[in-house]
Amino acid sequence: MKKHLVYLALLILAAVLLGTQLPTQSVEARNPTSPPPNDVAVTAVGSDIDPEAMAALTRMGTYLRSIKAFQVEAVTTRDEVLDSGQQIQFDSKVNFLVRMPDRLRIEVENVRQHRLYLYDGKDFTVWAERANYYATVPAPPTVGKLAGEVDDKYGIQIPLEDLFYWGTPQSKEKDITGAIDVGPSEVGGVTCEHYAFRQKGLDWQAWIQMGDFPLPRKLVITTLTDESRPQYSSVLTWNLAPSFNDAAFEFAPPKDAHKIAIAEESAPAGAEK
Amino acid sequence: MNRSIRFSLVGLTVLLLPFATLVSGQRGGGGGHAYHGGAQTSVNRGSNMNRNTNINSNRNVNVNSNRNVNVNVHNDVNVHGGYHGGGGYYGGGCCYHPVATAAAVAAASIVTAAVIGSMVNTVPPSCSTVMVNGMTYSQCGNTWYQPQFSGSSTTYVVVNAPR
Repeated sequence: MKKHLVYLALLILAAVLLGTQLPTQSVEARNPTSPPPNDVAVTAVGSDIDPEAMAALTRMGTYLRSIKAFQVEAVTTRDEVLDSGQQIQFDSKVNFLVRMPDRLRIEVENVRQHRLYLYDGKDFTVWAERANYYATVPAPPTVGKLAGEVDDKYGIQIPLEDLFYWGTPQSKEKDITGAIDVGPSEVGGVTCEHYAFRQKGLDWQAWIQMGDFPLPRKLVITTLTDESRPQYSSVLTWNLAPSFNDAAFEFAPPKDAHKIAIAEESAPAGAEK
Repeated sequence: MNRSIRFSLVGLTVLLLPFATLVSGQRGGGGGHAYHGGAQTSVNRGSNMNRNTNINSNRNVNVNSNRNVNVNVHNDVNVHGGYHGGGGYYGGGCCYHPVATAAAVAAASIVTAAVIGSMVNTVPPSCSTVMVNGMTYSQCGNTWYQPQFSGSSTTYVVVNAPR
């Protein structure tokens, strides 16, 4: 008799659980191509792709690749998430100087770090100003390959690395599952068109300058795989006629600077080199 | 007898003091807050998802609050479940903050502040930078650290005395 009651209770429980899951399943059913939600129930409902929005992205990529040298000053924010789910936002100032395909100078400044990254087509140097430590490692031959390599190998993320990927085969445009043209907008006094995209694990938005110079003026990336949905944002100020010489990309160690190693990602933490 | 034990404890404490004082008990620090991740920074590379470039914003760990006979038993050394690369604050320079290392865990209950192979984000300001055989070290009393970049952050690995 008691056994029957237990079964009944289990049955009811199962029914309740099924019932609560139904809405999620029906959403998925509308978009069979999307992968099953992982730990966070975020399912891309909008598989609608506005071809105009995609074309704008392609135009931006093509235009970016046509620029031989540029300077970008960016103000970025990045949300970090506490174990409690609470978000903490940190700002950085980034100053980029790029000469395609093989020169790069990036200065990143925030309350925690002041870093200078230099790349001269052969070596990649990172300098920590406050500690006055620097490290130099051999680098791949192009800026496009650099960002991926230093991230994979050393865990160093080049800020705004997307600027090097759009308009190349490394662009993940084909992964986009939703593209919307939000409408006209303005960033720092520049008229832009505002677009919103979705891809696996990410919602992101781009404000692309209108007219003959389709530059990204603002980017917002929302990480969906974290239930707090932290964002990374950047507002970019462009200079397409920077003045510089080769020395801008070469590292001249300041007085009392000390050379140290860079830990490789695959190596066990704390391994000596 | 008792006295000699107390003396040795005091001696140990004095020994430990140069290495700063307190190892933050919580993951992450920053007043006991633990970061578990952050926003992805690229739409064209998935690999940096959930990799946190700035884990340890440990600004306000107690400075010298244990300047007494208590030996700091580090059975609370923290592990970040695979996250490294904490961008520790440099401003304070007060304490050091362990980031994930297997060694730190293995040595968790050893009464010493300087486990070889363990890694910290900052060293006390009293440490001096020393060059030995072309390598850069930070010497803090009898403890030697080798600075390195971990991602974009600088960390210090406790090493054997180089000479």
